[in-house]
Amino acid sequence: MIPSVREARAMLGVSLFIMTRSARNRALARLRRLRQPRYWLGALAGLAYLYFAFFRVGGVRPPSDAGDAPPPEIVVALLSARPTIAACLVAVLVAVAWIVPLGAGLLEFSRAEVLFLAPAPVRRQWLLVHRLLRSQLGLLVAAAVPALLLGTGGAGPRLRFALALWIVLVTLRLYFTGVSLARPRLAHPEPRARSAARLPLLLSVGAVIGVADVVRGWIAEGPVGSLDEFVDRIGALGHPGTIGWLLAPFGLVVRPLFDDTIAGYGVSLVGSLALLGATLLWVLKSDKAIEQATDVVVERHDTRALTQTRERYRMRPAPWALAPRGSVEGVFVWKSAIEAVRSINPRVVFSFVFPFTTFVVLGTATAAFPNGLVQVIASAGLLTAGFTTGMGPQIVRSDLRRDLVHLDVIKTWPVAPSSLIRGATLWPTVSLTGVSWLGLVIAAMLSPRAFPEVSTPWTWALALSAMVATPALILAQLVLHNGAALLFPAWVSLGGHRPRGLDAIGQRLITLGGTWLGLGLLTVPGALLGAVVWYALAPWLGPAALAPAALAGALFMAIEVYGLTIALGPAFDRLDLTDMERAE
Amino acid sequence: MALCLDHFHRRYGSVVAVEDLSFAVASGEIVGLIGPNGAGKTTTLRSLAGVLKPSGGRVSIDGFDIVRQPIDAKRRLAFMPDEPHLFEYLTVVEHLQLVGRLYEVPNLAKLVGAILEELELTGREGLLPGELSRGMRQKVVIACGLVRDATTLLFDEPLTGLDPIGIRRMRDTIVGRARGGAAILLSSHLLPLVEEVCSRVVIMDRGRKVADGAVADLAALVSDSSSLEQIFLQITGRDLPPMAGSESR
Repeated sequence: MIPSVREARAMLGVSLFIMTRSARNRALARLRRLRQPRYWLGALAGLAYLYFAFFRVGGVRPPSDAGDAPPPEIVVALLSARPTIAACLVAVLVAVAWIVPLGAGLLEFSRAEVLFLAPAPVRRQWLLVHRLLRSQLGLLVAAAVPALLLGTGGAGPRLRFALALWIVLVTLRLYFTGVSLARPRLAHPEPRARSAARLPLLLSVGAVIGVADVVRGWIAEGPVGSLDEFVDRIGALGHPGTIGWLLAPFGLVVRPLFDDTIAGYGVSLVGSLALLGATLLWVLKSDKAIEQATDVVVERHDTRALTQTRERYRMRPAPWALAPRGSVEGVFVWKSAIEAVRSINPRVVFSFVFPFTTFVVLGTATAAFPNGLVQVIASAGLLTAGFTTGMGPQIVRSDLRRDLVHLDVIKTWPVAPSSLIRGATLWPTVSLTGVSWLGLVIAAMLSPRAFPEVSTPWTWALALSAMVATPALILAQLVLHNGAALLFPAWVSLGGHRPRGLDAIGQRLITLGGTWLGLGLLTVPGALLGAVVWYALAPWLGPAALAPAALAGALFMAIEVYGLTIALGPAFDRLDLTDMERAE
Repeated sequence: MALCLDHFHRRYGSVVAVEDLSFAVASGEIVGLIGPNGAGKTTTLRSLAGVLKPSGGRVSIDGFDIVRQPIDAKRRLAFMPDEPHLFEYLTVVEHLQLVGRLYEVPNLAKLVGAILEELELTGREGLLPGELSRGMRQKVVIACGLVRDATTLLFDEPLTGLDPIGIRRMRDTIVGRARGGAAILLSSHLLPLVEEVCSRVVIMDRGRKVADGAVADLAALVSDSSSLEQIFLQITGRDLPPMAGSESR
């Protein structure tokens, strides 16, 4: 049942009260904390980052002059195909949501929301509407940033782009929530409930057929031979023909993003708003499903501690049994391995598979890789290895940075802090190294066909030396990140929580910069030693000398890192929970 | 003495949380640490456990200084905090295995079975913390402390979230460990429990020790000594006047 106007007004008042007061208090708290150097330094760095990101380097540009040269053919072709490509992407996302629960955050209530709103005498749909309203600030920022970065022209067109993108984001968020509610009702005994759940699924199936038809067309025409052919095919996408009607609902929601004229934009906007309204009605109409879903969440909060464990961790057997005796480091490797095994879920797998698949599909479909699919996959392997080694330690925080939330327990353990730091960083080193090695092996094995200009001895010498250097580089970064957390705990967030705000962005940039600087300092002596080994052995071994050179450098780095863990021991002893950033 | 605080103090910036606190707990003794909110009890317990570093003074466990010889001191210590923070991804039995390995507990498998039985956790070995109630998680924290042969046990509100049967069992467990020779420091707001199991009581207020002795000795200091609650209220100066209308009832 849809809430009455009176009820909706009352609910809206409460929601707006919570949102405005929370926003005001949060802003005041952030302003107050600017008195501390760590925050105003962070704020300055954050401001500088935003300034350079949006207004200097590839950021907001003035409108182009009328006398500019006409855009290249490929740009014209891509521009005309944008609506179809975007509709295809939305259709794929929507279809994936039925297979992998993407969620939308609307059913993830905070403890306070459960405590105060769940017992309130209002319908359960209200909780959903409240969550939707609360998510608007984030969605507006998410829409405004691309409008600033990618939009063209003055303030008007950018504003129109931001509004159109905001509608897309809200519609998707609502749709994902609707899918979460509808999935358990696909086989509902009541025909009405069943058909309400199945209709959007049928639309998704239709869209998948449409996208599959596009892909089939590309495959049937064979690999792209030249840039001209690529331009032709992209141009053809702008006239989708028979698949158009299947993609129509998705085209409707993205259409305003690409309408340049005000009149056209207005018409498109009505269409996308209508679709947003229909999605909202579909979700709110599922009152029984909302009731059940919110009951589950409320019950879970009622009986559980701080986190939603059932979603985050799934009960799976430990990879191996912990021996009753052994090194302290081994305990932490075991503990982190269990966490890794139990935290794998379809969403995590999707976040890895999706970028890789997208890269391979786009790489195969375009003329960017003259040696075809083999070269695309080899390049994807190299990219994976590089990204994992360079950014993995920053992203994967399954070490002390996550366990600091248990500091009061960990500090009671009778273990040397240096062993603790080594133990905490070993498992992420092993797992990231594994991913990186996989990428390198794939690239090396495909290299003869993918990169024929690189000889076989060089290929394997490069691959082996990279494989030898990778664990040292990853371990060094992880120890540096953990060291930063121990030395500057006020700049680090507890557990999985990430603080927000300009100052927090700046703090993260400063710590990342500091870590890379530290990595540079740690790498230089090892690299120099490696260079000496290379010059000494190259005349006899040729390219194969790269591997012992890398080994010498990596070993030296490992010794440095070992020393660093010992040096960080007193910092762990000094660490005090009161210095650390808490969730807001 | 198994546990000894000597002129201990602890500051948070300019705020003094605990000032010049000295007392000791002997083996086999159960000492209650009580005080109003903000008195500094949890800060004291956390400093004893090595979680917080003392700002001054000396804290030792079995003669080992918690600052200078932390590993030796911690090996003899079990701290049961008031908030049952567990690793979300480890099952009940895996928490015990983790502790067993860290503290090098011999015959762990046997001890695990016994402690699970004692704390009524049998049948829940394979559950994750998220699948346990607050009380059950509290029991897991206590099981992690009791699974090893610690000489000093620190309990911070150990009965929070437990049902009446759990409270009785926990009381028996605490008393049983003391009889086995452990030194126990028990912080709780449940004064009848403290009165029942503790041989001595330390009362803190605003970061300072305001009384230390057996309940009978403390009773001699106040006018109304009918219960530890009355003694506590009078010593801390919080003896409230009767509520309006309560007499007519």
